[in-house]
Amino acid sequence: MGALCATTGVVLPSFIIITMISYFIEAFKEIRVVRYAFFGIRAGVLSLILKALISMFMQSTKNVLAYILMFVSAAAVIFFDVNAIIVIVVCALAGITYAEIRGRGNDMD
Amino acid sequence: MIWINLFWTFFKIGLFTFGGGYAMIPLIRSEVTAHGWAETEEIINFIAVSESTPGPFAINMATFIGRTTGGIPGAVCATLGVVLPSFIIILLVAGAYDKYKNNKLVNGAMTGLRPAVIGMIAAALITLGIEVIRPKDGIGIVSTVLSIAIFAVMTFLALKKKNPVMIIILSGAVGAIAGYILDL
Repeated sequence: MGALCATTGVVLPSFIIITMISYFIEAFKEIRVVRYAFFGIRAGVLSLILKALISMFMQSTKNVLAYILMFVSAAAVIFFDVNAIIVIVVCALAGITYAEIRGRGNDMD
Repeated sequence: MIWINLFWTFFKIGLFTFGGGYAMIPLIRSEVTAHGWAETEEIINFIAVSESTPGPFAINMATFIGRTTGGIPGAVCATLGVVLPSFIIILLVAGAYDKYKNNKLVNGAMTGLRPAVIGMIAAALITLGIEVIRPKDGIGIVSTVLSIAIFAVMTFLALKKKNPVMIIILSGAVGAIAGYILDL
């Protein structure tokens, strides 16, 4: 019961704000200046994503498996339109398999 | 039944939300556009809105798409759907956190998921980037050049650790002024 109340309490403020904003967006999106502003904003959003990508890459563990999974998951979505859920499941399984193989290797030492 | 559909779609999105934020863009985009609930362009606009308001992106997106397609009940269904999986998982795991923290299976899965999150963000950047930079009907190459210029300047500012909200406001201002000058 406490968990339910706490979760509702955390979600409710943004729920109310976003609901209100959604009405504003619908009302103003056809106005010329708003359309132009969002044109610029869309390019700005790309730079925010690029920045997030760079900083996450900097923090990531860098080994061959990680590079392969990064590249394969990005390519699968971009070029082959593979569902992101499939990519996530496959990568999780690959990680488990890798840990398993490495674990066995250590046991043999 | 739009409300059940919203609930189920965002439940799926919530279930596979790892790494939060931008990593979920490819999944959200494919689900939302496949249902015809929003265009890619609107999703990019909404990323900026979500970045400027409190709350995680996936939850804000659920509320927004739910509201615009199914009214207030739609917003409730979609938001519940996206929150429920993590709520259930946390409840199940909370008591046994220490047990799972060093679980070989969980650690192994995380080893694979962390690079996947980076791959997803890269995919988001490329697919959304193509949409933004693609020459638009009527205005053609001008919009492409302008978008790339704004992207370059804002990336410079973002890497200088400027506030994301400031970057959004600035790119909006540049877009508005350039739009009038060039009569896009």
